[in-house]
Amino acid sequence: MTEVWWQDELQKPAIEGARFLPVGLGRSYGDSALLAEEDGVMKSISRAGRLVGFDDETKVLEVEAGCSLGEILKWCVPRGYFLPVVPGTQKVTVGGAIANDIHGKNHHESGTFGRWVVSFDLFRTEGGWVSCSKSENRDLFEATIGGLGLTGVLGRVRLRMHALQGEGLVEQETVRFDSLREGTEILSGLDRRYPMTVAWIDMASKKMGRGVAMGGRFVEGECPRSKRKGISVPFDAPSCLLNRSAIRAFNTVYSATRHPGVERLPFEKYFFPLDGVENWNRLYGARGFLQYQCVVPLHAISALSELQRKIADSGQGAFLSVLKKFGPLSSPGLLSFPMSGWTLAMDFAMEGAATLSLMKKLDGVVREVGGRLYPAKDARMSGEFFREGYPQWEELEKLRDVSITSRFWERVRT
Amino acid sequence: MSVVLLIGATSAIGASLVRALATQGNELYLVGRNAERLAGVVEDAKLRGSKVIASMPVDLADLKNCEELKQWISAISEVEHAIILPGVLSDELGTLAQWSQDVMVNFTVPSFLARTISEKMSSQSEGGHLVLIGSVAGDRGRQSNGFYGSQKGALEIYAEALRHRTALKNCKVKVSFVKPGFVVSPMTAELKKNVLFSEPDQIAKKIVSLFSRGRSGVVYAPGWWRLIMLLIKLTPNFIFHRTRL
Ligand SMILES: Cc1cc2nc3c(=O)[nH]c(=O)nc-3n(C[C@H](O)[C@H](O)[C@H](O)COP(=O)(O)OP(=O)(O)OC[C@H]3O[C@@H](n4cnc5c(N)ncnc54)[C@H](O)[C@@H]3O)c2cc1C
Ligand SMILES: NC(=O)c1ccc[n+]([C@@H]2O[C@H](COP(=O)([O-])OP(=O)(O)OC[C@H]3O[C@@H](n4cnc5c(N)ncnc54)[C@H](OP(=O)(O)O)[C@@H]3O)[C@@H](O)[C@H]2O)c1
Repeated sequence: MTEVWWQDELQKPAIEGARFLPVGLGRSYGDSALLAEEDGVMKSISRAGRLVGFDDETKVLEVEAGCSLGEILKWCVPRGYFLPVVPGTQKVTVGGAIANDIHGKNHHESGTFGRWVVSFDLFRTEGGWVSCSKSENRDLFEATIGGLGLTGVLGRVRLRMHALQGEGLVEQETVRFDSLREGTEILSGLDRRYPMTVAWIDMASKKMGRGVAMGGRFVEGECPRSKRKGISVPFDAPSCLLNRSAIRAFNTVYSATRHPGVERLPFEKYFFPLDGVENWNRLYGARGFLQYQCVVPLHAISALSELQRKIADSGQGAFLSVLKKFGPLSSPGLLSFPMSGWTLAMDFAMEGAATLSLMKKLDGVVREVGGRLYPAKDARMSGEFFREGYPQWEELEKLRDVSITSRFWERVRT
Repeated sequence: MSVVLLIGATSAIGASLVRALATQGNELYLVGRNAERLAGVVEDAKLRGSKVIASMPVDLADLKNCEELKQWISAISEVEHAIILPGVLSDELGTLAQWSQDVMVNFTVPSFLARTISEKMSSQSEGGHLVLIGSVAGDRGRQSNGFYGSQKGALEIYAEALRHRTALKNCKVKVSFVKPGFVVSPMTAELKKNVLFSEPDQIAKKIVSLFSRGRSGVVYAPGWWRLIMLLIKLTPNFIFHRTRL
């Protein structure tokens, strides 16, 4: 992997001839931010991440695409602004956020990250820098949002910020439920009252399907800044640590410790609980884990129960499972993952063939109802399934930069 | 809030320093070589809340440029903190012309600027704090990196001389010499990264903390390099000469 420190390094002679893939902070779970060495170089742009300018009136912030969301938050929260959309970690770049058109707990209210992108500069092997927005090079603008890094390298990005109520303190209401069906009803109810909602679901223990739904909103009030340094997992855990019974136990304990009611917490704890544990993924041991995130259309609620049944039958529990209802707001992105419906994200410890065969079964359920998987978290779906879920892939293929490809793309486009 | 002069603002460590210093709201005077990159760093610093009073692009291998820089520095009314960062990794088998130019950038010009700045600080009633950047490579001559290390070693001796000079003058000028270990930066782009590498932000944080503690003297960054270098210095030649270090 090579690092781009300054945007002016992106120049024709330097890029031409060699195949490459622009990457950010590597927080994608699958292989869409990977390129095999024999296929080219991964160029990390996360070092080129300067703040460029801010317009108070339009609330438009200009940054270089390598800037992390955490860096932006450090800057904007004290000034009374917040990012329009944040994922479950702040250690991602603006470039990565655009390339996967990421979503957050406020999807029903604000849609995806791409909706808030006003314009950007894109470096293309043929033609150099081009400006893209809704009114200029619109096809490239739309193909780049959710475009998996394939259309070119994002340079300067202009992003519309949100005015922040308060100093970053979040009020969270927690409601318990005993079944998936009940969970979806409660989430729908919370969506009407809160700009941020999400539910955790037990997909491991005997009481599978139970969970807690959480609604959140920013409130006025002093936001306690925790000075405490996060903890870190120093090495891969032995593979027995997160075995099936441990995963069941975790889900039971998690469920027992979530109390219904209202509490207030700083936004970092609310949005980014895992960022407090450095290298948390090592808990899964050297074999790691696979994420599975799908979306199914609103009417296909029964597919969720079907997924649960398949997981129960397999005996493999999911460690962390999250359910969220995507709202109807559409994204300008051509290959954006979210669509109006239910999204379920699950972490499975990698147990080899058994895990892969379970996922294949889950694919079947999702496919049947016209759902699709999130490329940012996929390392295994079949090309056929991908192309079916994202019929616009051919348009992206036409606009793909001649030098750029990824392991993911090579896997799914044929 | 202080007035800080930073020479080498477009290096990796320099850009990290600008971010840290700007967030604290300091008034900055910034010098870099590439005008376009310098302009980017200035924009970033301003947005983070610092006043960038002035910036100047300078090629330290150009004598005329360096004279202009000297004038520019003397025109600043007061410099509380200053950092001199530029450096190049010399090619161990470089030509005479390359080596001569490297010495300008790594030793002659930084020393000359350090002298200029320390004289200026001596004349200020509150003195000032000057930081020079060396390297652990300057601690022992090694076949792989001997010429670069020698220049950094020479700079360390000059920093020591400046401390002597300011001590005699009895003025409130402090001179720190910071020796980073391996740092992830364009300078080390070709090297394979391992656990010994630090982030530029870590080095920047260390330098900023020197100012707040007002510490003079030689500092390793991160601190554990002091122990590693001690062991390397203590290794007897009959062992050392069998290594490829
Ligand atoms: C703990 C955790 C929680 C998460 N929660 C969520 C969530 O709630 N919602 C959600 O949507 N996602 C979530 N994600 C996924 C994450 O937000 C995305 O994978 C994101 O794209 C990662 O950004 P990155 O900077 O690490 O980019 P990388 O993973 O390095 O790259 C991602 C993609 O961006 C492209 N790219 C990066 N930089 C550029 C550039 N400058 N120009 C062009 N293309 C570029 C790459 O080619 C690649 O296709 C989560 C991930 C983690 C680890
Ligand atoms: N990286 C390490 O492992 C390491 C270890 C110990 C010490 N150091 C020292 O740390 C300092 C900063 O280096 P870095 O790691 O941040 O690497 P860097 O980004 O490559 O910085 C080197 C800087 O020197 C500048 N420079 C080189 N030649 C110049 C010239 N002729 N005129 C003006 N400026 C010139 C460069 O200017 P441009 O921006 O215009 O190229 C660049 O800003 C250097 O003194 C280096 O020796 C680094």
